[in-house]
Amino acid sequence: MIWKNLGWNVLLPPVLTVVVALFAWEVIVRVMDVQTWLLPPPSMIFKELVDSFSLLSKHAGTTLAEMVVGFAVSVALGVTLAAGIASFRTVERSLYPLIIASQTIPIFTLAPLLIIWVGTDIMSKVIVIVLFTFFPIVISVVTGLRQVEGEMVDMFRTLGASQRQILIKLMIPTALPNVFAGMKIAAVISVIGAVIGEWVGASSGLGYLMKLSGPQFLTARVFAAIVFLSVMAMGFFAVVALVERYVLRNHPSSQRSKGMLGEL
Amino acid sequence: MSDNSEPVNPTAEGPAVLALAGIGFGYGHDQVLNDVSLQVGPGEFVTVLGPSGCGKSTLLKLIAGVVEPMEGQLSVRHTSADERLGNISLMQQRDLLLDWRTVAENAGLGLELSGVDPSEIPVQVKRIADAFGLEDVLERYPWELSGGMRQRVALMRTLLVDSELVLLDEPFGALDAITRSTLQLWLLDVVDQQDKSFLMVSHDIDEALLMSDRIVVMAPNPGRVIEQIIVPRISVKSHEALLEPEILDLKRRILSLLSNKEQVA
Repeated sequence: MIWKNLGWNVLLPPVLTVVVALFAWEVIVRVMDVQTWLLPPPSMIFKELVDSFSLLSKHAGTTLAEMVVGFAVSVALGVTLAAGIASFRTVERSLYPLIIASQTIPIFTLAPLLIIWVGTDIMSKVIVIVLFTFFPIVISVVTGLRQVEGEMVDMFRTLGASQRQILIKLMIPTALPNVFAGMKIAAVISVIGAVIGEWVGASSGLGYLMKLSGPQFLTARVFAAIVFLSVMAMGFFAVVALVERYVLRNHPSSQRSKGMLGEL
Repeated sequence: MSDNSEPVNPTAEGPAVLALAGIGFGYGHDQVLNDVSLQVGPGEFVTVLGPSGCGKSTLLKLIAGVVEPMEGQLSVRHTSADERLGNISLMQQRDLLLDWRTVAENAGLGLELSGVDPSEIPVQVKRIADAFGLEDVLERYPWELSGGMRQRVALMRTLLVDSELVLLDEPFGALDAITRSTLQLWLLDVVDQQDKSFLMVSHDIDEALLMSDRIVVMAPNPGRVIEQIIVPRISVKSHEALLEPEILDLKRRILSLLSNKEQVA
Protein backbone atom coordinates (compact mmCIF):
# COMPACT_ATOMS: atom_id res chain seq x y z
CA MET A 1 0.00 0.00 0.00
CA ILE A 2 2.86 2.29 0.87
CA TRP A 3 4.46 1.50 -2.46
CA LYS A 4 1.33 1.90 -4.52
CA ASN A 5 2.36 5.25 -5.97
CA LEU A 6 5.81 3.97 -6.88
CA GLY A 7 4.90 2.91 -10.42
CA TRP A 8 6.98 2.98 -13.56
CA ASN A 9 5.87 6.51 -14.34
CA VAL A 10 7.73 7.62 -11.21
CA LEU A 11 10.79 5.39 -11.49
CA LEU A 12 11.41 5.34 -15.21
CA PRO A 13 12.49 8.95 -15.93
CA PRO A 14 15.28 9.14 -13.29
CA VAL A 15 16.48 5.58 -14.03
CA LEU A 16 16.61 6.33 -17.73
CA THR A 17 18.54 9.57 -17.12
CA VAL A 18 21.12 7.73 -15.03
CA VAL A 19 21.53 4.94 -17.61
CA VAL A 20 22.03 7.43 -20.44
CA ALA A 21 24.52 9.48 -18.40
CA LEU A 22 26.54 6.39 -17.40
CA PHE A 23 26.59 5.17 -20.99
CA ALA A 24 27.82 8.56 -22.23
CA TRP A 25 30.47 8.61 -19.49
CA GLU A 26 31.70 5.14 -20.48
CA VAL A 27 31.88 6.03 -24.17
CA ILE A 28 33.63 9.37 -23.64
CA VAL A 29 36.28 7.87 -21.33
CA ARG A 30 37.02 5.07 -23.79
CA VAL A 31 36.93 7.13 -26.99
CA MET A 32 39.09 9.95 -25.55
CA ASP A 33 41.35 7.45 -23.84
CA VAL A 34 41.16 9.19 -20.44
CA GLN A 35 43.58 7.82 -17.81
CA THR A 36 41.64 5.66 -15.34
CA TRP A 37 43.32 7.26 -12.29
CA LEU A 38 41.94 10.57 -13.54
CA LEU A 39 38.41 9.43 -14.37
CA PRO A 40 37.60 5.72 -14.26
CA PRO A 41 34.71 4.53 -16.49
CA PRO A 42 31.49 3.33 -14.77
CA SER A 43 32.34 -0.28 -15.67
CA MET A 44 35.56 -0.02 -13.66
CA ILE A 45 33.75 1.58 -10.70
CA PHE A 46 31.22 -1.23 -10.85
CA LYS A 47 34.05 -3.81 -10.87
CA GLU A 48 35.61 -2.06 -7.87
CA LEU A 49 32.23 -2.16 -6.07
CA VAL A 50 32.08 -5.91 -6.60
CA ASP A 51 35.76 -6.66 -5.88
CA SER A 52 36.04 -4.49 -2.74
CA PHE A 53 32.54 -5.10 -1.50
CA SER A 54 33.62 -6.52 1.85
CA LEU A 55 36.13 -3.69 2.44
CA LEU A 56 33.55 -1.04 1.51
CA SER A 57 30.88 -2.73 3.64
CA LYS A 58 33.17 -2.80 6.67
CA HIS A 59 33.82 0.95 6.42
CA ALA A 60 30.18 1.62 5.56
CA GLY A 61 29.22 -0.10 8.83
CA THR A 62 31.29 2.44 10.79
CA THR A 63 29.78 5.37 8.89
CA LEU A 64 26.25 4.02 9.25
CA ALA A 65 26.67 3.60 13.02
CA GLU A 66 27.82 7.24 13.26
CA MET A 67 24.88 8.38 11.15
CA VAL A 68 22.28 6.52 13.20
CA VAL A 69 23.67 7.62 16.59
CA GLY A 70 24.19 11.21 15.39
CA PHE A 71 20.68 11.33 13.92
CA ALA A 72 19.09 9.98 17.11
CA VAL A 73 20.95 12.47 19.31
CA SER A 74 20.04 15.25 16.89
CA VAL A 75 16.33 14.41 16.93
CA ALA A 76 16.27 14.22 20.74
CA LEU A 77 18.16 17.51 21.09
CA GLY A 78 16.29 19.29 18.29
CA VAL A 79 12.82 18.34 19.54
CA THR A 80 13.70 19.33 23.12
CA LEU A 81 15.10 22.70 22.02
CA ALA A 82 12.10 23.32 19.76
CA ALA A 83 9.64 22.48 22.53
CA GLY A 84 11.44 24.94 24.83
CA ILE A 85 11.49 27.65 22.16
CA ALA A 86 7.81 27.18 21.31
CA SER A 87 6.69 27.07 24.95
CA PHE A 88 8.77 29.72 26.71
CA ARG A 89 9.33 33.25 25.51
CA THR A 90 12.57 33.51 27.53
CA VAL A 91 14.03 30.39 25.93
CA GLU A 92 13.03 31.67 22.50
CA ARG A 93 14.63 35.09 23.06
CA SER A 94 17.84 33.74 24.55
CA LEU A 95 18.41 30.68 22.34
CA TYR A 96 16.71 31.09 18.96
CA PRO A 97 18.99 33.88 17.64
CA LEU A 98 22.06 31.94 18.81
CA ILE A 99 20.88 28.76 17.09
CA ILE A 100 20.40 30.65 13.84
CA ALA A 101 23.76 32.44 14.24
CA SER A 102 25.47 29.10 14.88
CA GLN A 103 24.59 28.04 11.36
CA THR A 104 26.82 30.78 9.93
CA ILE A 105 29.88 29.05 11.40
CA PRO A 106 31.41 26.67 8.83
CA ILE A 107 31.07 23.39 10.70
CA PHE A 108 33.93 21.91 8.70
CA THR A 109 36.30 24.24 10.57
CA LEU A 110 35.08 22.95 13.93
CA ALA A 111 35.92 19.33 13.12
CA PRO A 112 39.69 19.65 13.85
CA LEU A 113 38.85 21.24 17.23
CA LEU A 114 36.53 18.37 18.05
CA ILE A 115 39.30 15.88 17.27
CA ILE A 116 41.52 17.74 19.77
CA TRP A 117 38.80 17.84 22.39
CA VAL A 118 37.15 14.43 22.16
CA GLY A 119 39.55 12.33 20.09
CA THR A 120 39.04 10.33 16.93
CA ASP A 121 36.49 7.83 18.15
CA ILE A 122 32.78 7.87 17.22
CA MET A 123 32.00 10.80 19.56
CA SER A 124 33.69 13.43 17.38
CA LYS A 125 31.74 12.23 14.32
CA VAL A 126 28.46 12.17 16.24
CA ILE A 127 29.03 15.77 17.35
CA VAL A 128 29.73 16.91 13.77
CA ILE A 129 26.55 15.15 12.55
CA VAL A 130 24.51 16.75 15.33
CA LEU A 131 25.91 20.19 14.43
CA PHE A 132 24.85 19.62 10.83
CA THR A 133 21.41 18.12 11.46
CA PHE A 134 19.85 19.62 14.59
CA PHE A 135 19.16 22.94 12.88
CA PRO A 136 16.62 21.70 10.29
CA ILE A 137 14.93 19.68 13.03
CA VAL A 138 14.64 22.65 15.42
CA ILE A 139 13.30 24.95 12.70
CA SER A 140 10.71 22.48 11.42
CA VAL A 141 9.50 21.42 14.88
CA VAL A 142 9.17 25.05 16.03
CA THR A 143 7.18 25.77 12.86
CA GLY A 144 5.01 22.72 13.53
CA LEU A 145 4.28 23.62 17.14
CA ARG A 146 3.39 27.17 16.14
CA GLN A 147 0.73 25.83 13.78
CA VAL A 148 -1.36 24.87 16.80
CA GLU A 149 -4.16 27.43 16.82
CA GLY A 150 -5.25 29.28 19.92
CA GLU A 151 -8.88 28.40 19.16
CA MET A 152 -7.99 24.70 19.20
CA VAL A 153 -6.33 25.08 22.60
CA ASP A 154 -9.43 26.94 23.86
CA MET A 155 -11.63 24.11 22.56
CA PHE A 156 -9.53 21.53 24.43
CA ARG A 157 -9.66 23.64 27.59
CA THR A 158 -13.44 23.97 27.48
CA LEU A 159 -13.59 20.18 27.21
CA GLY A 160 -11.64 20.06 30.47
CA ALA A 161 -8.24 19.03 29.03
CA SER A 162 -5.13 19.19 31.22
CA GLN A 163 -1.85 20.72 29.96
CA ARG A 164 -0.54 17.18 29.48
CA GLN A 165 -3.57 16.17 27.40
CA ILE A 166 -3.22 19.31 25.28
CA LEU A 167 0.43 18.41 24.62
CA ILE A 168 -0.19 14.74 23.78
CA LYS A 169 -3.50 14.93 21.96
CA LEU A 170 -3.15 18.30 20.21
CA MET A 171 0.36 19.79 20.07
CA ILE A 172 2.32 16.67 19.12
CA PRO A 173 -0.09 15.35 16.46
CA THR A 174 -0.31 18.83 14.91
CA ALA A 175 3.47 19.19 14.76
CA LEU A 176 4.25 15.65 13.55
CA PRO A 177 4.23 16.31 9.77
CA ASN A 178 6.80 19.08 10.33
CA VAL A 179 8.85 16.88 12.66
CA PHE A 180 9.12 14.29 9.90
CA ALA A 181 9.98 16.93 7.30
CA GLY A 182 12.92 18.01 9.47
CA MET A 183 13.93 14.40 10.12
CA LYS A 184 14.02 13.59 6.40
CA ILE A 185 16.37 16.51 5.75
CA ALA A 186 18.49 15.49 8.74
CA ALA A 187 18.66 11.87 7.54
CA VAL A 188 20.17 12.91 4.20
CA ILE A 189 22.68 15.43 5.53
CA SER A 190 23.81 13.13 8.34
CA VAL A 191 25.95 11.45 5.64
CA ILE A 192 27.75 14.76 5.01
CA GLY A 193 28.43 15.19 8.72
CA ALA A 194 29.80 11.66 9.05
CA VAL A 195 32.14 11.99 6.06
CA ILE A 196 33.48 15.37 7.19
CA GLY A 197 34.06 14.04 10.69
CA GLU A 198 35.93 11.03 9.31
CA TRP A 199 37.89 13.17 6.88
CA VAL A 200 39.45 15.13 9.71
CA GLY A 201 40.31 12.24 11.97
CA ALA A 202 39.26 8.61 12.00
CA SER A 203 40.57 5.08 11.72
CA SER A 204 37.69 3.67 9.73
CA GLY A 205 34.59 4.73 7.81
CA LEU A 206 33.90 5.57 4.16
CA GLY A 207 35.21 9.14 4.57
CA TYR A 208 38.44 7.74 6.00
CA LEU A 209 38.66 5.22 3.12
CA MET A 210 38.20 7.98 0.55
CA LYS A 211 40.85 10.15 2.18
CA LEU A 212 43.21 7.17 2.14
CA SER A 213 42.44 6.12 -1.43
CA GLY A 214 42.74 9.56 -3.08
CA PRO A 215 46.51 10.07 -2.65
CA GLN A 216 47.06 6.47 -3.88
CA PHE A 217 45.16 7.31 -7.07
CA LEU A 218 42.66 4.54 -6.29
CA THR A 219 40.09 6.75 -7.99
CA ALA A 220 37.66 3.93 -8.74
CA ARG A 221 37.57 3.12 -5.02
CA VAL A 222 36.76 6.77 -4.19
CA PHE A 223 33.87 6.62 -6.65
CA ALA A 224 32.74 3.28 -5.23
CA ALA A 225 32.70 4.84 -1.75
CA ILE A 226 30.64 7.75 -3.10
CA VAL A 227 28.13 5.27 -4.56
CA PHE A 228 27.91 3.57 -1.15
CA LEU A 229 27.38 6.89 0.65
CA SER A 230 24.71 7.95 -1.79
CA VAL A 231 22.84 4.66 -1.44
CA MET A 232 23.11 4.91 2.37
CA ALA A 233 21.69 8.45 2.35
CA MET A 234 18.79 7.42 0.12
CA GLY A 235 18.17 4.33 2.21
CA PHE A 236 18.14 6.33 5.43
CA PHE A 237 15.75 8.82 3.87
CA ALA A 238 13.51 5.98 2.68
CA VAL A 239 13.39 4.44 6.16
CA VAL A 240 12.36 7.77 7.73
CA ALA A 241 9.82 8.32 4.94
CA LEU A 242 8.32 4.86 5.50
CA VAL A 243 8.04 5.45 9.24
CA GLU A 244 6.39 8.78 8.41
CA ARG A 245 3.94 7.05 6.07
CA TYR A 246 3.00 4.63 8.81
CA VAL A 247 2.74 7.16 11.66
CA LEU A 248 0.88 9.76 9.58
CA ARG A 249 -1.34 7.29 7.73
CA ASN A 250 -4.43 9.10 9.03
CA HIS A 251 -3.12 12.61 8.47
CA PRO A 252 -4.65 14.39 5.50
CA SER A 253 -1.18 15.54 4.44
CA SER A 254 -0.14 11.94 3.72
CA GLN A 255 -3.31 11.29 1.76
CA ARG A 256 -2.56 14.12 -0.62
CA SER A 257 1.16 13.58 -1.25
CA LYS A 258 2.14 11.95 -4.48
CA GLY A 259 4.37 9.15 -3.28
CA MET A 260 7.65 8.79 -1.53
CA LEU A 261 10.02 9.25 -4.44
CA GLY A 262 8.19 12.39 -5.46
CA GLU A 263 9.96 14.07 -2.55
CA LEU A 264 13.47 12.93 -3.43
CA MET B 1 -33.81 51.75 29.07
CA SER B 2 -34.84 51.36 32.70
CA ASP B 3 -36.02 47.78 32.30
CA ASN B 4 -32.68 46.66 30.89
CA SER B 5 -30.92 46.50 34.21
CA GLU B 6 -33.41 43.99 35.56
CA PRO B 7 -32.86 40.56 34.15
CA VAL B 8 -36.01 39.19 32.60
CA ASN B 9 -36.41 35.49 32.82
CA PRO B 10 -40.04 34.72 32.14
CA THR B 11 -39.81 31.54 30.08
CA ALA B 12 -37.78 29.62 32.59
CA GLU B 13 -38.74 27.86 35.76
CA GLY B 14 -36.54 27.52 38.82
CA PRO B 15 -33.20 29.15 39.57
CA ALA B 16 -31.14 30.44 36.65
CA VAL B 17 -28.57 28.08 35.11
CA LEU B 18 -26.44 31.09 34.22
CA ALA B 19 -26.52 34.55 35.77
CA LEU B 20 -24.31 37.47 34.71
CA ALA B 21 -24.38 40.75 36.63
CA GLY B 22 -22.41 43.83 35.57
CA ILE B 23 -19.78 41.91 33.61
CA GLY B 24 -16.95 44.04 32.21
CA PHE B 25 -13.92 43.05 30.18
CA GLY B 26 -11.22 44.71 28.08
CA TYR B 27 -7.89 44.29 26.40
CA GLY B 28 -5.49 47.03 27.46
CA HIS B 29 -7.35 50.33 27.03
CA ASP B 30 -10.04 48.80 24.81
CA GLN B 31 -13.24 48.17 26.73
CA VAL B 32 -14.84 45.14 25.03
CA LEU B 33 -17.77 44.52 27.37
CA ASN B 34 -19.40 46.96 29.74
CA ASP B 35 -21.94 46.16 32.46
CA VAL B 36 -23.43 43.08 30.80
CA SER B 37 -26.21 41.42 32.80
CA LEU B 38 -28.31 38.50 31.65
CA GLN B 39 -29.70 35.19 32.80
CA VAL B 40 -30.45 31.85 31.23
CA GLY B 41 -33.08 29.67 32.89
CA PRO B 42 -33.36 25.87 32.91
CA GLY B 43 -34.23 24.52 29.47
CA GLU B 44 -34.22 28.01 27.99
CA PHE B 45 -32.74 28.92 24.59
CA VAL B 46 -31.37 32.47 24.68
CA THR B 47 -29.70 34.25 21.79
CA VAL B 48 -27.33 37.19 22.16
CA LEU B 49 -27.81 39.23 19.00
CA GLY B 50 -25.55 42.01 17.90
CA PRO B 51 -23.28 43.34 15.13
CA SER B 52 -19.70 42.18 14.67
CA GLY B 53 -17.33 43.56 17.27
CA CYS B 54 -19.82 43.88 20.11
CA GLY B 55 -17.93 41.32 22.16
CA LYS B 56 -20.32 38.39 21.70
CA SER B 57 -17.60 35.77 21.31
CA THR B 58 -15.64 37.23 24.21
CA LEU B 59 -18.77 36.95 26.33
CA LEU B 60 -18.99 33.22 25.62
CA LYS B 61 -15.29 32.72 26.38
CA LEU B 62 -15.81 34.49 29.71
CA ILE B 63 -18.74 32.25 30.59
CA ALA B 64 -16.87 29.09 29.52
CA GLY B 65 -13.89 30.07 31.70
CA VAL B 66 -11.33 30.48 28.91
CA VAL B 67 -10.80 34.06 30.17
CA GLU B 68 -11.90 35.66 33.43
CA PRO B 69 -14.12 38.76 33.66
CA MET B 70 -12.54 41.93 35.07
CA GLU B 71 -15.72 43.23 36.66
CA GLY B 72 -19.03 41.85 37.80
CA GLN B 73 -20.41 38.53 38.96
CA LEU B 74 -20.76 35.38 36.95
CA SER B 75 -22.48 32.35 38.40
CA VAL B 76 -23.31 28.99 36.89
CA ARG B 77 -25.62 26.57 38.66
CA HIS B 78 -23.88 23.56 40.24
CA THR B 79 -20.48 24.86 39.11
CA SER B 80 -17.98 26.90 41.11
CA ALA B 81 -16.05 29.69 39.38
CA ASP B 82 -12.83 27.67 38.98
CA GLU B 83 -14.66 24.59 37.68
CA ARG B 84 -16.19 26.22 34.61
CA LEU B 85 -13.63 24.73 32.20
CA GLY B 86 -14.81 21.22 31.41
CA ASN B 87 -18.30 21.72 32.81
CA ILE B 88 -19.76 24.16 30.28
CA SER B 89 -19.95 23.17 26.61
CA LEU B 90 -18.76 25.70 24.06
CA MET B 91 -19.11 25.26 20.32
CA GLN B 92 -17.13 27.81 18.36
CA GLN B 93 -17.92 29.10 14.90
CA ARG B 94 -15.30 26.91 13.20
CA ASP B 95 -15.78 23.18 13.65
CA LEU B 96 -12.20 22.70 14.95
CA LEU B 97 -12.17 19.01 14.08
CA LEU B 98 -8.88 17.13 14.39
CA ASP B 99 -7.93 15.99 10.90
CA TRP B 100 -6.18 12.82 12.05
CA ARG B 101 -9.17 11.47 13.99
CA THR B 102 -12.26 9.77 12.61
CA VAL B 103 -15.70 11.31 13.06
CA ALA B 104 -16.36 8.99 16.02
CA GLU B 105 -13.02 9.87 17.64
CA ASN B 106 -13.66 13.59 17.13
CA ALA B 107 -17.16 13.37 18.55
CA GLY B 108 -15.92 11.46 21.58
CA LEU B 109 -13.03 13.85 22.33
CA GLY B 110 -14.73 15.48 25.29
CA LEU B 111 -15.59 12.12 26.85
CA GLU B 112 -12.02 10.94 26.29
CA LEU B 113 -10.53 14.04 27.92
CA SER B 114 -12.79 13.73 30.95
CA GLY B 115 -11.57 10.20 31.55
CA VAL B 116 -14.60 8.17 30.43
CA ASP B 117 -13.74 4.46 30.00
CA PRO B 118 -12.34 4.18 26.41
CA SER B 119 -14.53 1.18 25.63
CA GLU B 120 -17.62 3.13 26.65
CA ILE B 121 -16.97 6.12 24.34
CA PRO B 122 -17.88 4.48 20.98
CA VAL B 123 -21.08 3.16 22.57
CA GLN B 124 -22.13 6.64 23.66
CA VAL B 125 -21.17 8.14 20.30
CA LYS B 126 -23.13 5.50 18.39
CA ARG B 127 -26.18 5.98 20.57
CA ILE B 128 -26.70 9.59 19.42
CA ALA B 129 -25.10 9.43 15.93
CA ASP B 130 -28.46 8.61 14.42
CA ALA B 131 -30.05 11.85 15.60
CA PHE B 132 -27.14 13.74 14.01
CA GLY B 133 -27.41 11.88 10.69
CA LEU B 134 -23.84 10.71 11.10
CA GLU B 135 -24.33 6.97 11.71
CA ASP B 136 -22.87 6.06 8.29
CA VAL B 137 -19.77 8.25 8.45
CA LEU B 138 -18.47 7.48 11.95
CA GLU B 139 -15.31 5.86 10.57
CA ARG B 140 -14.67 8.58 7.97
CA TYR B 141 -12.19 11.43 8.39
CA PRO B 142 -13.20 15.10 8.59
CA TRP B 143 -11.72 16.00 5.21
CA GLU B 144 -14.15 13.57 3.58
CA LEU B 145 -17.20 15.44 4.92
CA SER B 146 -19.20 18.45 3.75
CA GLY B 147 -19.23 21.68 5.77
CA GLY B 148 -22.67 20.94 7.17
CA MET B 149 -21.66 17.45 8.29
CA ARG B 150 -18.47 18.74 9.93
CA GLN B 151 -20.55 21.26 11.87
CA ARG B 152 -22.84 18.46 13.08
CA VAL B 153 -19.80 16.47 14.25
CA ALA B 154 -18.63 19.53 16.20
CA LEU B 155 -22.08 19.90 17.74
CA MET B 156 -22.11 16.22 18.64
CA ARG B 157 -18.76 16.65 20.40
CA THR B 158 -20.22 19.62 22.27
CA LEU B 159 -23.47 17.94 23.31
CA LEU B 160 -21.87 14.63 24.38
CA VAL B 161 -20.21 16.46 27.26
CA ASP B 162 -22.20 16.15 30.47
CA SER B 163 -23.11 19.79 31.08
CA GLU B 164 -26.25 21.77 31.89
CA LEU B 165 -25.28 24.79 29.83
CA VAL B 166 -24.34 24.83 26.14
CA LEU B 167 -22.78 27.91 24.52
CA LEU B 168 -23.00 28.23 20.74
CA ASP B 169 -20.83 30.81 18.96
CA GLU B 170 -22.50 31.41 15.58
CA PRO B 171 -22.64 27.66 15.01
CA PHE B 172 -23.75 27.95 11.39
CA GLY B 173 -21.99 31.20 10.48
CA ALA B 174 -19.50 29.56 8.13
CA LEU B 175 -22.10 27.64 6.11
CA ASP B 176 -24.03 28.49 2.95
CA ALA B 177 -27.58 29.81 3.38
CA ILE B 178 -29.42 26.63 2.36
CA THR B 179 -27.36 24.32 4.58
CA ARG B 180 -27.71 26.82 7.39
CA SER B 181 -31.51 26.91 7.30
CA THR B 182 -31.69 23.09 7.18
CA LEU B 183 -29.39 22.80 10.16
CA GLN B 184 -31.29 25.45 12.13
CA LEU B 185 -34.48 23.38 11.98
CA TRP B 186 -32.55 20.22 12.74
CA LEU B 187 -30.88 21.87 15.75
CA LEU B 188 -34.31 22.88 17.07
CA ASP B 189 -35.24 19.19 17.07
CA VAL B 190 -32.03 18.24 18.84
CA VAL B 191 -32.50 21.01 21.40
CA ASP B 192 -36.00 19.74 22.20
CA GLN B 193 -34.60 16.32 23.01
CA GLN B 194 -31.88 17.72 25.31
CA ASP B 195 -32.34 18.54 28.94
CA LYS B 196 -29.96 21.47 28.66
CA SER B 197 -29.98 25.27 28.52
CA PHE B 198 -28.58 27.05 25.48
CA LEU B 199 -26.94 30.44 25.01
CA MET B 200 -26.20 31.21 21.37
CA VAL B 201 -24.58 34.29 19.89
CA SER B 202 -25.52 35.35 16.39
CA HIS B 203 -25.71 38.38 14.09
CA ASP B 204 -28.58 36.82 12.12
CA ILE B 205 -31.97 38.22 13.23
CA ASP B 206 -33.97 35.44 11.52
CA GLU B 207 -31.85 32.78 13.15
CA ALA B 208 -32.37 34.38 16.55
CA LEU B 209 -36.16 34.65 16.08
CA LEU B 210 -36.42 31.08 14.84
CA MET B 211 -34.36 29.42 17.55
CA SER B 212 -34.83 31.40 20.72
CA ASP B 213 -37.17 31.78 23.64
CA ARG B 214 -35.55 35.12 24.34
CA ILE B 215 -33.24 37.51 22.49
CA VAL B 216 -30.67 39.73 24.17
CA VAL B 217 -29.77 42.61 21.85
CA MET B 218 -26.28 44.04 22.19
CA ALA B 219 -24.62 47.18 20.82
CA PRO B 220 -20.88 47.65 20.17
CA ASN B 221 -18.16 50.03 21.45
CA PRO B 222 -18.17 48.85 24.15
CA GLY B 223 -20.36 45.76 23.99
CA ARG B 224 -23.44 46.24 26.16
CA VAL B 225 -26.98 44.93 26.47
CA ILE B 226 -29.58 47.36 25.07
CA GLU B 227 -32.75 45.28 25.11
CA GLN B 228 -34.15 41.88 26.01
CA ILE B 229 -36.98 40.58 23.88
CA ILE B 230 -39.23 37.61 24.55
CA VAL B 231 -40.05 35.62 21.44
CA PRO B 232 -43.62 34.33 21.58
CA ARG B 233 -43.98 30.58 21.27
CA ILE B 234 -44.69 29.84 17.65
CA SER B 235 -46.88 26.76 17.24
CA VAL B 236 -44.69 25.25 14.54
CA LYS B 237 -41.08 26.42 14.44
CA SER B 238 -40.33 26.81 10.75
CA HIS B 239 -38.96 29.44 8.43
CA GLU B 240 -42.53 30.27 7.29
CA ALA B 241 -43.38 31.17 10.88
CA LEU B 242 -40.95 34.07 10.54
CA LEU B 243 -43.48 35.69 8.21
CA GLU B 244 -46.21 35.87 10.85
CA PRO B 245 -47.17 39.48 11.67
CA GLU B 246 -46.20 39.19 15.33
CA ILE B 247 -42.71 37.93 14.45
CA LEU B 248 -42.29 40.52 11.68
CA ASP B 249 -43.07 43.25 14.23
CA LEU B 250 -40.34 41.91 16.49
CA LYS B 251 -37.93 41.82 13.57
CA ARG B 252 -38.72 45.47 12.76
CA ARG B 253 -38.12 46.41 16.37
CA ILE B 254 -34.77 44.60 16.51
CA LEU B 255 -33.68 46.14 13.20
CA SER B 256 -34.41 49.65 14.45
CA LEU B 257 -32.61 48.93 17.72
CA LEU B 258 -29.51 47.71 15.88
CA SER B 259 -29.47 50.50 13.28
CA ASN B 260 -29.99 53.27 15.89
CA LYS B 261 -27.14 52.05 18.00
CA GLU B 262 -24.86 51.63 15.03
CA GLN B 263 -25.39 55.27 14.03
CA VAL B 264 -24.49 56.34 17.55
CA ALA B 265 -21.40 54.14 17.47
